[in-house]
Amino acid sequence: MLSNRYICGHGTKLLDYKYNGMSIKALTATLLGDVSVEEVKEGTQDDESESNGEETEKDKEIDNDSNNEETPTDSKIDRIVKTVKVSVIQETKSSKKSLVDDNFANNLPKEGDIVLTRVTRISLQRANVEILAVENANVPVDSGVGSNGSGIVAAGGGSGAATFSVSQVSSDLGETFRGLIRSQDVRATERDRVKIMDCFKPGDIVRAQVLSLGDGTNYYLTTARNDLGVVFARAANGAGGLMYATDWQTMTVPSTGLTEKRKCAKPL
Amino acid sequence: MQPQTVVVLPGDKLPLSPSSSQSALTLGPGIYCNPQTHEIIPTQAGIAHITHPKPHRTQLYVDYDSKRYIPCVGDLVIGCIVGTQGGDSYRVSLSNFSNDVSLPYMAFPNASKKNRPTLVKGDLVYAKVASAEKELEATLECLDPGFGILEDGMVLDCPLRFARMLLFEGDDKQKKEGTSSLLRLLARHTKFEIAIGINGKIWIKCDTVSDTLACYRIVLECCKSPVSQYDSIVKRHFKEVAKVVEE
Repeated sequence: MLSNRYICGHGTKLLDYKYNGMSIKALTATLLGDVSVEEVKEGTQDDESESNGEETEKDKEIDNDSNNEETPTDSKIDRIVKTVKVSVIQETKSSKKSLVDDNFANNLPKEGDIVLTRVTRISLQRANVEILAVENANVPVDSGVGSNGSGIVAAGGGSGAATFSVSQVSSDLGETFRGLIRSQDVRATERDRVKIMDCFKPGDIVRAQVLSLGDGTNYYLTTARNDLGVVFARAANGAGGLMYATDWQTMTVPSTGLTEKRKCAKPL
Repeated sequence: MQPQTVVVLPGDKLPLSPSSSQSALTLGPGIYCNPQTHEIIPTQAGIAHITHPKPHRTQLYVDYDSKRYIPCVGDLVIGCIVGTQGGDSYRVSLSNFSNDVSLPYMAFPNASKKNRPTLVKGDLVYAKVASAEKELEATLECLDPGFGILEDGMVLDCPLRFARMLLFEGDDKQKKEGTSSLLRLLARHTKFEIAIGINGKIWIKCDTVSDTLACYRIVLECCKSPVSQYDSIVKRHFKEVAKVVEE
């Protein structure tokens, strides 16, 4: 026996409707775009991926037959339930408006997300940063730069290109989300002997992961992973040339040979 | 090679001899090295000193006057405790309207986690700058004898060059005795204790308040006067104070 279970994805919401005196729960689109479905549970073989056109209301009805009795004839055959996530993807290319690739507002930083940040100030115990972009988890099918037009090569290297949701707010007016990297969260080893001075400098672009949303002022971020850390930096706090990571804690200016200490993300 | 002294303005070309380009350069205050072109230029107006303490070694700095203090490692400074921070350090103000610096509890002799120093807000401390990174707030330490709280006495503000002159004049062996001997002149009239902060603060304490006051006024006036007048200033102020005391 095969049945589907639909859960809310990005851009959808489960809403209650009254119809003919009955209460019906239905997935409802909250964004303008194309509906996409994807199966979340592994194990089943055939998935009938139905991608419908634009719908505004009552996408699918939830089958709430969970209280059905087991099939009495054959106890060997269990019920197979496929979990399908329904979400709405904003199609920016088709729309004439000059929206940025993957709107930042619909892709806010949440726990576990990878973000690109700029260091604004440092102290002995922490580095304050501002969040510039959120790395998107959904890499396009061919993971190529060409497929989504304005693809940016993944900062941390690795295969293919990740996409980013770039924050459009002004950093001059303090509109960006602020984050905080505590000295214990800079690297995975020798956490209590970290000197922030040898890891970050103001102006560095740091790839970090969101630990928690923190309070209203600061996100809490970490760089305690090989692919996290400083990805772009200039020597002498921006007065010098562009530096490249030569190992995990050294960056070098190719033209002058000058080196500075940083907590670098894993070089390519 | 002879030491050179020239008056320079910001952006001037420094009169470096070609041979000094091969020697190791040590850049001091007022000199800037452009990180992209490696050009060395002065950024302050004053007298540039180019010395050769050893062969193949050149030292460069500009002696300029200012009233705003920027911490450097090893400086002896007088600060005022303005509060505590995070339960492990004091916040110390070295000069008004500048960023505060921190003085960790552990930077005192015999300090431990349980045995904390007993300074309170408003106390004066004589301390040494332990670290001064330009991106970070500077930290002080009071580890050696002589550092620590300054009790009673009076503090005055003076230009940084005057404080440097007072603190280091004894080090200069070549100078003739009596040329810049403000401290020696004061010692002829009274016993006093003095602490000189490179951040432009001078603390003076005598046995009597009238002597302290006289010293305070003398140092304040000497900041703005040529060395040749020090003798008359010292005599005049002590005379004035003595007159008031008699009355």
